[in-house]
Amino acid sequence: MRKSIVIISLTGAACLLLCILASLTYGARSVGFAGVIAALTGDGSFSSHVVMARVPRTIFGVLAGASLAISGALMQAITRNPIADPSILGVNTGASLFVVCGITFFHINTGGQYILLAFAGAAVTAAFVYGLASLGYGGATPLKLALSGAAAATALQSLVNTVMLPNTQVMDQFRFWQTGSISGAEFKDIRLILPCLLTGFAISFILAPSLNTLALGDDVAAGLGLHVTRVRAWAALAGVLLCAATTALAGPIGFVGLMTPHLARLLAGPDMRKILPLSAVFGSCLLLLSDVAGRMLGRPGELESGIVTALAGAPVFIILIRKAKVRSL
Amino acid sequence: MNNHVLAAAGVTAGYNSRPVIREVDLTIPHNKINVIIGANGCGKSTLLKTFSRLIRPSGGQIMLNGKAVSSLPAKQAAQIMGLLPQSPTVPDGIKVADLVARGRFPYRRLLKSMTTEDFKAVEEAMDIMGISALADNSVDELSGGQRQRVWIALALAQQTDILLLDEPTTFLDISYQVEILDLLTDLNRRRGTTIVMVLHDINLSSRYADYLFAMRDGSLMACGTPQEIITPQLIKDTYGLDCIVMEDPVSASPFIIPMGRHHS
Repeated sequence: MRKSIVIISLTGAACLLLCILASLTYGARSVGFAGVIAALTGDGSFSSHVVMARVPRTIFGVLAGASLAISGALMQAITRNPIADPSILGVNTGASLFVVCGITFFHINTGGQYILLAFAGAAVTAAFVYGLASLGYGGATPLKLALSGAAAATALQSLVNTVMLPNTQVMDQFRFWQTGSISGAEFKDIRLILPCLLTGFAISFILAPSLNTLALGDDVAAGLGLHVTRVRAWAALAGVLLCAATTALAGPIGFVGLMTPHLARLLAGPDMRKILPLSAVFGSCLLLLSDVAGRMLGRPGELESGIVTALAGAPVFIILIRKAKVRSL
Repeated sequence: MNNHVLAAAGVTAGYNSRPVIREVDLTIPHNKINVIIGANGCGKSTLLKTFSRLIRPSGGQIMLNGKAVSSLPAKQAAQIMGLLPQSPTVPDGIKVADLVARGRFPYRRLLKSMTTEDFKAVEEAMDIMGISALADNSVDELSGGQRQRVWIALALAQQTDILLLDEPTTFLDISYQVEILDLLTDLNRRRGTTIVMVLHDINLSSRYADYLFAMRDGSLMACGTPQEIITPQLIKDTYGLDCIVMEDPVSASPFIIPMGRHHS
């Protein structure tokens, strides 16, 4: 058992390294492995400039993928619901609506304002969707949560469109809000959201044992001396923080938070202390690969990574919801 | 042996401000097996949940050793009182030993992993419940009876002097019911663990309980040893059922035989 977790971690780390390499290498202009080496040694050639230009988006891809994955794992843990994820619950659509409104109506332009608005939008949406799903018999069941999330996401998306479409000249500039892309990231943006991400990571790792206890049901958890409501609130805060900070920069990227915790659980079992770091690694890999795939598929332009994750994620979502339905019957 | 005294002092509690139990006063005798009986909806589960801090009383207090339980830090209370609720959730794919180990949560310190003491407690709990051989099995694969033993082992790993169980034998067939009650009796005799549980079967209750608490409509009707309180009148009052009471030929405890419209 101990041995297998070591193997899984090493494999995960190796995959991540390969994905980082791929993200630096491939794109509208593929530079090859030699180009990456050239850039690392700083020889000033054209290839090395191409690679250097891809460094910020690669770093952001790693961070954003990890954040979305952990955010999804946290949301699945607090709702005890296998299909919870920032995009399915409409949380990151809520975040982008607030940001788009801020840009259009209040002409916000600093990164700090983006993050604040994204956070507010994500928090309001999370509370709304969970409240809506809790109505009626049985509380927030997987199916009801998915339905209210889908409804909220659709409604919010149409609002985003309503706000953006009339502004033809700015629409193109904001296009990435609709689908999600990590291509626009710059170092100064990353530096801005980094404290949010680190705080989110720290809270989630501290909470991991408590989330394990919460997984046994509210009654057992309370009997074991867990402050159920307090742990839920902290985990929700961390989840919303991670997803909002990422969304503030990248726009809504779907399904990363849905798929990766399941993969981690499949490989490492139901212990959150393993699920969280493994999901983070897989999330980074998935987002980088999606980004690279988007660059390859959309040549000479690019396909937003949010579209690629949705393409890969939709079938997984359908499989999961079918499984969840069978279990709840 | 332990001398923790658990008591309800004028407790009123329920859901959404609608009281299910009203002004209940009772003291749980320590080192004993205590069983709460009563008809569906009489408030016996609510009483147990209030004891275990899942429901906050709207009036009165749950007292532990003369102090209000609500004033104790949650983890400290969880080192004295353990709870097995009616329908706990089994995390997908969890192994028996890992599930039992989660009973050590009240002893966990921030960012610390399991200590040798923790591992010892887990092993001992699995040993008492006879599930050591299943340690590496997935809980999903177990039978209902085995699964219930795993949950009780989790509560044992918590190493509490008081154990509260909400209908631990429901959904089990008769042989598993007897097996679980035997194991709980072992625990009580060996460790002096005070056991408080809700049971549906009156005959098994009166066989295994040292003390019975009979409830009706959110109030305590009677309490005492089964010999003292099980009478046709009490069963009529609590369940609205006519019956005759005989002596259990095996345990010499009171044994009720119900009557009905077709048999009397």
